[in-house]
Amino acid sequence: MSDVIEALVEREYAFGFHSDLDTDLAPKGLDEDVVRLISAKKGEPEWLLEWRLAAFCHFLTLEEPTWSNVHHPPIDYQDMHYWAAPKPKPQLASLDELDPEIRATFDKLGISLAEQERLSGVAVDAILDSVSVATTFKAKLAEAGVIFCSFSEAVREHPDLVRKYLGSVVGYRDNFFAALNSAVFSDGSFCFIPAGVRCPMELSTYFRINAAQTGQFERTLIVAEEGASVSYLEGCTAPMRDENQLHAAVVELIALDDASIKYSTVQNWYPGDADGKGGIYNFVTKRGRCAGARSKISWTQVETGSAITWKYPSVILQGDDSVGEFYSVAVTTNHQQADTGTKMIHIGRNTRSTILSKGISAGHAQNTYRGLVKILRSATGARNHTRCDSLLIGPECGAHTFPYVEVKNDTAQVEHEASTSKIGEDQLFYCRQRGLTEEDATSMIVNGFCREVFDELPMEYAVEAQALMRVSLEGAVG
Amino acid sequence: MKAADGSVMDYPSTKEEAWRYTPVDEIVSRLAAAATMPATGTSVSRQVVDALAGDHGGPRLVFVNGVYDADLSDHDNVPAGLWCGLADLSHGRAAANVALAGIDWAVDGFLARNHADGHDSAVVVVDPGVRIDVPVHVVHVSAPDNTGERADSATISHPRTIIDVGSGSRIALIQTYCGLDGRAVTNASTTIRVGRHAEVDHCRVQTESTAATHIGHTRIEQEEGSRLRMISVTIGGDIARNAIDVHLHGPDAQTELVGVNVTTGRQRHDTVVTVDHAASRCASTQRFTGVIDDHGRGSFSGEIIVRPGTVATDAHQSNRNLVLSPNAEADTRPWLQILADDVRCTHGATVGRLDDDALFYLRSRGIPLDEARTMLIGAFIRDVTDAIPHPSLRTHVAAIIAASNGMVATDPERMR
Repeated sequence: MSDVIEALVEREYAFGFHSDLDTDLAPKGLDEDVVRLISAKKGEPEWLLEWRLAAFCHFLTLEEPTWSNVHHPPIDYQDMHYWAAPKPKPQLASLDELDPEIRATFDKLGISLAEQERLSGVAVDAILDSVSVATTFKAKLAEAGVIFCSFSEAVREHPDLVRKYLGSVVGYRDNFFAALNSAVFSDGSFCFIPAGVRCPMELSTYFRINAAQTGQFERTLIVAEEGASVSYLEGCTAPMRDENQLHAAVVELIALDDASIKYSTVQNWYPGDADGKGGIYNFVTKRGRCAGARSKISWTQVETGSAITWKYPSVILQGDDSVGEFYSVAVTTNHQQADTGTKMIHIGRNTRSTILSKGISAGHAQNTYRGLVKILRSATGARNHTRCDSLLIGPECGAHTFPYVEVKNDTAQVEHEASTSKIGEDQLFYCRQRGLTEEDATSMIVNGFCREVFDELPMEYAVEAQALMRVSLEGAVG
Repeated sequence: MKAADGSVMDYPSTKEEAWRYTPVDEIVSRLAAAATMPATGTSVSRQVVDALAGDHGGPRLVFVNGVYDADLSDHDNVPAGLWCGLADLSHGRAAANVALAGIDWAVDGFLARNHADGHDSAVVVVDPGVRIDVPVHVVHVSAPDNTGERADSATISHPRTIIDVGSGSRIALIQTYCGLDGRAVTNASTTIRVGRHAEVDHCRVQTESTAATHIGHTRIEQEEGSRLRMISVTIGGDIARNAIDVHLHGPDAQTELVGVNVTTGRQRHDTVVTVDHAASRCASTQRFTGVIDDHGRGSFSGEIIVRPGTVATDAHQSNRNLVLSPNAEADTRPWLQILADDVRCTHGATVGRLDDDALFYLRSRGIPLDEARTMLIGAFIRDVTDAIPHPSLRTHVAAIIAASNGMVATDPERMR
C-alpha cells in the first residue's frame, strides 16, 4: 500500500503531456464567421446554425459576471481558438483504425479504449480538444435501445431528439458562459435512454484539452425517458501550459417520470504550477431537470484540478415527489480557486433534496461553497437537508460558505448546517502516535472527511478520487 | 447623497449582497417623500412613553421625532462615573466621541444621511473602571399626527446614539425605538465602543407602528478582553432593517448576539449581522430567531469573517425560522468567510412550521388549539426573551410579542 502512495506522491501532474497531433485550428477570435465556420465544419442543419447565431447575438449583449469569489486577469475572448480538431482521417471501420497518436494519448491517460471495451464494460466517449474521437461499445448499447454518441453524430442521426431537448434546461439566455458555449460549442456527448430501459453499463465521457490556446466548449445532453435509468461518468485532463485555457461547458440532464440519472465527475484539469501560473479556467453550467414525477437526479463531483473552478450543478425539481442530490468534494491547493456549490429549486409537491459538500483548502487556495435552496409556493411538503464542511490546511488559505435559503411555503422543512475547522490536533496526534507520518495521517483524515462523498462514486472512480486527493495535497502539509 | 466628510455616497442597491433582501427602492422613496413634506408631529405624554417603552429604573433619555425632550427624560439619577445626554452639551469626551464616531465608516447612503442630517445625538460615556448597576435607557418615539391635511405623510427622524464604555467598566443599555400609530421613517445609527476588559449588556427593542419604516445600523467596536451581549427584538415597522456590525479589534474579546423578529400582516423584516474577527482568541455567537406569520417576510443574513493571521477563533451562528402561514416567506443566508486555519466555526439554519405532533400532544391534553399554538411559539422564542436581563423589559417585550402575534392570553406561569 505504501508503495502505491509513494508512487502517487512522486508523481507530479501526470497528465501534463502534450500529444503531437496534426490539429485543424480555426483562426483566433470570435465573431459571426467563426460561429458559421464551426457549424459548417460540422455540417450542421440550418436550425442549429440559427440557434448558434441567436446565442451569439445574445452573448454580445452580455457582460462577464463578476459576482463570484474568484479573481483572475480579464479573459481575452478574441485571443483563443474556438475550434481545434485532430485532422480528419478516413472514416473508421473499427477502433483499431484510430490514429495511433490519439490511441497513445488515451493510453497514457489510462483509458485504453480497446481495453475498456473488452474488460471493464464501461462505454467511453472520448473527446480530444473539441471533437469526439471515438465512442466504444455502441453496438451493445444500441441493442438495449440506448443512444450514446457524440453530439455531432446525434445532430446527424437523431435531429428530432436533439432539437426537442437542446437548450431546454440551460437555454442560451441563461448566463454569459452558457451563451458563449451555445454559440461555439464544438462537440460533446449525447445520451438517450428510452422508456423503461435500465442502461446496461456505466456510460463515460473523457475530455481532454490538447492544443495550445484553445478553449473547450462541449455540450452534454442526457435524456432519460419514463422509468429509464443511467449512470454517467465524466473525467477531464489537460496538458501543462503556462497560459490559462478556458473550459466553458454546458451539461443538461432531463429525467421524465420515474427516471433516474446519476452524473459523476472527476475533474482533474491542469491546476497551474505551484506559483499559480497557467491552468484551466473551468466555468461550467450544469443543470438537471426532474421533469417527471418520482424522477431523480444525482450529481457527484470530485474537483481537484483547474486553476479556477466556477460551477454549480443544479437540479430543478419540477415533478411531484422528485429527488435531487448533490455530493461534492472540492480540493484546492497552491493558488487554486474554487467557487462551487449547487442550486436546488423546489417546484413540485413533496420534492426532496440533499446537499453534502466537503471543501478542502490548502496552501494559498480559496475554496468557496455557494448554494441556493429555493422552495417555491407550489412545493408543498418540500424537504431539504444541507451540510457543508470545510477543512483548512495551513494559515494562508481560505474557506468560505455562502448559502442562500429562500422559503415560500410553510410546509417546507429546510435545514442547513456547516462547519469550518482545521485538522484536529488530537486526531493527528493519535495517528502519529501509532507510527504514521504526518503526511499519511493527514491523508487518512482527509479521506475520512470525504468518505461520504466518495461512497457515492462508482467503484473505480472512488479509488481514483482517493489517489487524486493524495496527489493534490502532496506538499500541502507540514 | 453627501457623507459627513463631503464625499458623495449612493444609496445601496439590492445587487449588493448585504441589501439583497431589503426593499431599498421603497425605503428610498419613502425617505425622499418624508424629507420633502414631513408629517406634523404630535406631543407625547410621560404615560405614553411609559406604556410604549417601559420604565426600567435607570436614567432615561427620550427623543420625540428625533428631538430631545427634557421633560420626558429622567436625568436626575445618573450614577457617578456615567455621563449621558445630548451631544451638544459641553462634555469634553462626549464632543470628542461625536467627532470620532462614524467619520471614516459611513458605509452607505443611509448612514451618510444620518450623519449629515442627524437630529439630536444621544451620548453615553462611562469612565474607566466603573460598574453601573442600573440600565441607561435611550428612547426614540416617532409620533406622527394622524389628523389634518398631512395625515398621509410621514415624520422623519435620524436618531444617532454614541456609546463609549471605558476600560474595565460595566454597563447595561436599553435602546427603544417605538411609536404612535401612523407613518414614520426612522433612519437610526448607533455606535458602541467597548474598551479593554469592559462589559456591555445591550438590548435593542424596535416596536414602531406597523406603518413605519425603520432602517437601523449598530456598529460595535470591541477592544482587548471586552465582552458584549446584545439582544435585539424587532417587532414593529412595515419595512424594518436591523443591521449589526461587530468589529473585534482586540484579542480575547467575546460577543454574544441574540435576536428575534416577529412578522405579521405584510411586514418585511431584514436582519443583517456581520461579526469581523480581526484579532486572535476571540469568541462570538449569533443566535437569531424569526417568527413569520400572514404575508410577512423575514430575512436573515449573517456573516462571520475571520481575518488572516488570527488564531484560536471560535465563532458560531444559528438562525431558526418558524413559518406560521402559507403566505409567509423566510430567507436565510448564513455566511462564513474564513481566511485563517486555526478556527472553529459552525453555522446552522432551519426553516419549518409548528410541529404537528407537539400540537396534537397539547390538544390531546385538553389545551385549546390557539392556546397550544401560543405555547409553542412562546417556547420557540423563549431563548431570546429569557436572555433579556431586566425583568421589567422582559415582561414588556413578551406582552408586545403576544399582542402582535395574535397570541391568546395564557397563564403567564404556564408560559414560563
